[in-house]
Amino acid sequence: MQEVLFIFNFNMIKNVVIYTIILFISYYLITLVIPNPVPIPEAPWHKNELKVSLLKTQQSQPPIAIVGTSYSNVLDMQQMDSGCINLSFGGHTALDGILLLRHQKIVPEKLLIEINYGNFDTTGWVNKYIQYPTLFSINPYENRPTVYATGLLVKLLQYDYVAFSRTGQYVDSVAVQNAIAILKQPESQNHNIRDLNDYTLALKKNLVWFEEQGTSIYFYLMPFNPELCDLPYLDKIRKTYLSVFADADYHFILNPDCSPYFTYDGRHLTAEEGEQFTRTLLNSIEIE
Amino acid sequence: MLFNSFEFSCLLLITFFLYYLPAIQKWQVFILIAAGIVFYGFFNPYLLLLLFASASISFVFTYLVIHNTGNKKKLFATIGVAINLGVLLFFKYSGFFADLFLSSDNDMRNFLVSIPLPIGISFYTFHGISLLVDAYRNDESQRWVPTFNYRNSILYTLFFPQLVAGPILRAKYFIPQIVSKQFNQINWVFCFRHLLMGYFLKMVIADNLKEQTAYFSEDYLITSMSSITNIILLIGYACQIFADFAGYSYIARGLAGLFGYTIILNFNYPYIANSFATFWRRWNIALSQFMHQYLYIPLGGNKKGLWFTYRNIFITMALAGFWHGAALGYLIWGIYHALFLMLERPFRAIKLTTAGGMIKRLVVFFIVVFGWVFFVFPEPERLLLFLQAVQLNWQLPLHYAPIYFTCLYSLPILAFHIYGWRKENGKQPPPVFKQVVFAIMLFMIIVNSGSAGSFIYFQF
Repeated sequence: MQEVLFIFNFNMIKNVVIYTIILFISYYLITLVIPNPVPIPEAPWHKNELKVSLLKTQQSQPPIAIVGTSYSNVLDMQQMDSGCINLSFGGHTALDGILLLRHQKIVPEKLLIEINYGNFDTTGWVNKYIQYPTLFSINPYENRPTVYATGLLVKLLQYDYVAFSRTGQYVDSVAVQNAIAILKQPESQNHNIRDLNDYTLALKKNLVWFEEQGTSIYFYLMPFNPELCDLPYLDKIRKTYLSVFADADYHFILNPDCSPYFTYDGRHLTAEEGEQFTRTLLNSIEIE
Repeated sequence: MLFNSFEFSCLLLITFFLYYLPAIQKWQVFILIAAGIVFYGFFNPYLLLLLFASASISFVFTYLVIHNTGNKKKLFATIGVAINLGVLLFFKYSGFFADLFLSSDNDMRNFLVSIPLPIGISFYTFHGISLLVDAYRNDESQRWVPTFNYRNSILYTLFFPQLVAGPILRAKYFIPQIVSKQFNQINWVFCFRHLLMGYFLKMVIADNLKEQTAYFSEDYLITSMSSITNIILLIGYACQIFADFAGYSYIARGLAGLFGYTIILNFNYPYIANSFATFWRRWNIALSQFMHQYLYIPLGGNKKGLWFTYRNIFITMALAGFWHGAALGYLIWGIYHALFLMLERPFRAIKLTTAGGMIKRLVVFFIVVFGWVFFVFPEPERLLLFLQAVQLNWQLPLHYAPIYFTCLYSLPILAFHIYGWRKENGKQPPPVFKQVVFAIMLFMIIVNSGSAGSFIYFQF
């Protein structure tokens, strides 16, 4: 028989729990004193989480819903009517946004779907919210919505928010040219066409529901740096979309004019360029 | 299944409840085996076939080793070890060698490259080897032989706290622990501390740093970041890989404690090591001991003169590096450490002042940190790209957010090692301080966890 060890020694655990409760109370009080917490996500993942958390209070029929990837993150929502939503998830796909909208039964008047370039994952990152909705709703900290401890520290340090939020958007021509040289290499363009087919078929299946609700569906391409705009693999992707959705009554905005856009890494528009492209995109939708 | 998933919480609760249920207490070992099966087979049940085949073969040959003597005993041990190594070679390295030596239109090459890597294979094949070698050796390890049977052998492999990412358990330490366990024998404080520390390291530090070091995943981002940003992100990666693996090991230790088992402390403040030899006695201790006991010593260790010692260090470290993954970078990483181990060997006896000792620790730390580039960029082309970016991009502006958050989430790792250093010098903080720190960890786990990701060592 082994020696009985610490079974009755719960003091340490008890004290830790008490101190944790004190920390929570202090934290809550601090967030009351600082009512407008840090608006800056600390990583693309966090930005995604913030967007998902906003869906809890989303009206059920927004005029426009955008679903896409990090490229569409830069679209300027100020130019759109209030209630419009942008579910562009860095590192993920437009399908994730579509799955979320369906799950939350949000029926936009117009659904703008960014055409994916590189990621054709059909497993759905958002499934964790769809599969465990209870867990998602009972724990307000699960997705670190607008208040989070490390962000609060940034606020307390009075960090320069403007410089901070512009991270990754400094346009340095040498760095952009380096990035473009890499993106032009065949390996960077070597996307699996089978995954693309599976992905577009998954999109098609999920879009039927929106069609039945009367949503107008638009596919659009985000512009790249002009040097990357006409690469053969992009053309292949465009053709695949057009063939998969040939029998559907969808709108396609597939040939953006890339010339005004330099980008900060070859593919992602800067904030100013994002504002400019948003105007172009909205005009194109009106014309369509 | 991930330790930080909802599914795992359910599995743990059910297993724990059944394990200590008095009516079925005699089935404790089977309950743990069943939990191991669910844990491992959750995403891909077919992989269980390979796991069971490997564990069963190890059992059969261990049985034959125990019940034979002389040359037969040696033969069975050799065959058993060879089969385990063969399984590992086939599933982990055949694609690498095929890619290296066969042309891209060769059918055999394409077949071998397409074989998926079964999760945890590096760990359970090493368990098989430990079982065989410990059974073969005529030392005190033979004490576990009377309790050796198929059931215990399977539990040794399928014990879920360490199944997919170690630490690598030695048969002679684990199998004697397989006895009936009582609920009132649980060391709750030990389990609480280890689980809290492990989850904090994984969910708050590693998972948040992962979001910053993700910049390394795209070549075009590496080239567009400044040299300083790249260097800071590399230091962040050093903290991330420590937090990820040490976190897993702490969780594994805490979970094992809940079921009455003790497993090895796998990390002992590695970044305060004052030499490379000490680093390897502090980092992934289970792997270091395994390589030392089952490779370095059988090769002759340091008993056959200087050059043989160097040869043995080189072979052991190169293979330890290559064990981590089928890519050139891991092999180079092992050789990189071997070179520094050899380089420092003649100077081990030199006594340093306190300041000298501190400088040496820092030098070792930065050399170890630089070594992680071979982990982040196991492919030579990407490694060169990174080195070029560091060399050329000094004029580019800093990326504030990744730098800020990398430093922020790396700070606890620094504090952790300062604590370790003070502790080793006999300076312990008062209990209240420790309790407040644990409270902060618990608080941070709840409010500031990163996005759940799998453990880095799963891929190995």
